[in-house]
Amino acid sequence: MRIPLQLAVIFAICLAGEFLHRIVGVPLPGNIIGMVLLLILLCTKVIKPEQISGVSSFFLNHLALFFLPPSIAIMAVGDDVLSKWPLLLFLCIAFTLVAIAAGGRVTQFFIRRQEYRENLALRAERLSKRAERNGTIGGEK
Amino acid sequence: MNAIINSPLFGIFLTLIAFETGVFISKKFKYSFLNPLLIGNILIVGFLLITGVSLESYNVGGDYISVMLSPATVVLAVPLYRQIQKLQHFWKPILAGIFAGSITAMTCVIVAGKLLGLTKVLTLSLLPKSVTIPMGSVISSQIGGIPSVTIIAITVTGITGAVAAPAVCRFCHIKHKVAQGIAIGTASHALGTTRAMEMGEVQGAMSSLAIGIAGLFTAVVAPVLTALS
Repeated sequence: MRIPLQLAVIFAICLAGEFLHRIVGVPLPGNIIGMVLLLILLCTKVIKPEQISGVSSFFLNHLALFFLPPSIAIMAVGDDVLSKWPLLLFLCIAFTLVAIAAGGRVTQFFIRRQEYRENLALRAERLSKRAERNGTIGGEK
Repeated sequence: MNAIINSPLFGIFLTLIAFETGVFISKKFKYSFLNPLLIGNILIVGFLLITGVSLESYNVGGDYISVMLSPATVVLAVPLYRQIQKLQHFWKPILAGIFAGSITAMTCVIVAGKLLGLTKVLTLSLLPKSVTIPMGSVISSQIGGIPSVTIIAITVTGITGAVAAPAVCRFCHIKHKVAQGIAIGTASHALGTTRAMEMGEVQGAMSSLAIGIAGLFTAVVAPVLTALS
């Protein structure tokens, strides 16, 4: 697809997301609904990733640029927020470390459990095969 | 002079130059905390404060770039789609881990807000801080926070993850590659993912997968927690 058409497709999905949020009343932000819509379109092969790669790689490669203007609104923030910045900085850093630890430990716990069960199933399968083989060998005797 | 300052091109130009300077500096010095977004923010805020150009004048052009946040979020579906096969085998542990990480991050904020007596607006602004910026800023404004505060909090969170993730994994004995990736992506979004990709291919893929799912979880759970708190 040519770049203008790719942009039109992506913008159409954005507008559909906004429509579902504002008019239909889906309680998720419009851009997130748009992301889910695009994911569905990709999974159902209506859109192939290559067809929108020009626009998608542009946005993904320069993602941070689009956050710069909204972040400037920090200037308009009241003094009550600005005066607390050392505390807020500390909280952000501390909670990030805690969240990494929690997410990682929980994921690892369930992965280990799943792997353990898979191993058990594998071993049981192997044992039953061996028993079968022994059985037939015993029968021949 | 006012005619020039109030032209949309002025704000767009300022943004592009500040951002590229930030990219240049962060590439040159290679410290994780020298993030292009953080440098660009300081440059623009500094410029506006020194010259006395108002935030409104800047936003005449800045808004053109902000509008592009929406398509930038939508195309996050592309990397998510590319990782979807990898999700299939470990989908239960992955979803459990992302949910645990997101809930932990949000609960910490709410508890700290209560204990330290932060204002409700401030607590709500920090609530979606582990989510990627296009989602976090929208979630923030939806639950009644200040998006610009959220964006700064998200940036700090991401930089923390990028700097400290390997140390946290070592300290907490998180050894499984999938678990490492999920933890980093859930807690510190795309910025942390840059570090996860350095740790390995599996970690990078899992981290980028976790960004989108953690965002969705937070978008659904944050309004509920807001109502409860």
